[in-house]
Amino acid sequence: MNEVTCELCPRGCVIPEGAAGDCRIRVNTGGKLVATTYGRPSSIQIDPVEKKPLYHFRPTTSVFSVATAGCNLHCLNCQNWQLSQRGGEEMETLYHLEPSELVASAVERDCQAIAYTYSDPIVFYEYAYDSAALAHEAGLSNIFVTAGYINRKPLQQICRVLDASNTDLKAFDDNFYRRINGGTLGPVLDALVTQREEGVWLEVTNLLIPTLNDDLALVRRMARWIERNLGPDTPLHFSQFTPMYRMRNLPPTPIPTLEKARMEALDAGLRYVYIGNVFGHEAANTYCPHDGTLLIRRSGFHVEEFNLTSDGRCPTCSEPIAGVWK
Amino acid sequence: MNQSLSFRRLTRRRFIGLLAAMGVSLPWLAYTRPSSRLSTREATFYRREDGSNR
Repeated sequence: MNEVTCELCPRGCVIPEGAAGDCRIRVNTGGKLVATTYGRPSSIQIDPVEKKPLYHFRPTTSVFSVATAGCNLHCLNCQNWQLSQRGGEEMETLYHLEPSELVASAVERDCQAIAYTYSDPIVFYEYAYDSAALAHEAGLSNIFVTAGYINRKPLQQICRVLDASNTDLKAFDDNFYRRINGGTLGPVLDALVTQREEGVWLEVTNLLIPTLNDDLALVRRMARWIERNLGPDTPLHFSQFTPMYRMRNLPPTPIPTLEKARMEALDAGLRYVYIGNVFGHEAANTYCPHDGTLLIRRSGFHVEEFNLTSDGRCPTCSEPIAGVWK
Repeated sequence: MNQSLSFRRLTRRRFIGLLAAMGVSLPWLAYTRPSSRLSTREATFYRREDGSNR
């Protein structure tokens, strides 16, 4: 039979010879598990760090963003389904870019960081890990944009070469994960705590989908969990849902829903709560949690105004503002 | 196989992909076959049938 068992993510796929795991890109070839998209990204782009979104990590940083095909979740509302719900062999675009070439490309284009993003970097783990190690040697930061569906041991290992992470917490509801994402909630909560313990700068994104996970009691429970387990300084981004992929039957999230969710999270004790995907909303700005001074004004993904002191404090009351500012 | 690519080349590949998507047959421009396009790099974090780990 020559089966192998993948131990990277909680799925624990048992993969017969010649077949791929649930992620489509980890393939059993002759009893050996092969990472088929190692050095084969299908999406490369330069983004501002605010697009990840990371609002408290080196603002205005130019980020070389890279992704390969495949994902270990199957969200019905996936924004990148053409990339994530396909195997490497199905991609029209398949660059050949080894880790050293990836880092050289980022440096050449004056990027200060590399983001492993778009699909889920967990499934191209080895490529992300090797690239991140070389990126550190070249003086670049590493950013993970992930759904956090990974086992503890590989996550702890890659955290050694990561600087920041935006992790999706899709809903504080295991049933939602099973129905909408094809996963479970527990491992994601573990991954959030692990990243915090390992010292990775962490921001959390929650996409609010009308009728499915926008219940304010659910939002309150999630915010309280974040406050207790990750700390009140953890930035939380509520993102607006857009009808997409297999979930075109629901409308975009109404802005008042996002605003109410933000108020719930602030009431629960979180100090930095944002609204995302809504152009020009004032909740995309950073305010001092002590005296309300406007600290960073954003317009889309651009920073229009930056008022923090050089040591990351509020200029009015000297309150330290959590983040990586240099 | 592991060639370093310029962005000019990436654009060319995208253009070829677009032509292919439009149904234009350009077999002489197909730069590799699917099987050889993928990596053969061994993964980490898996267990073989005999119990050995990677």
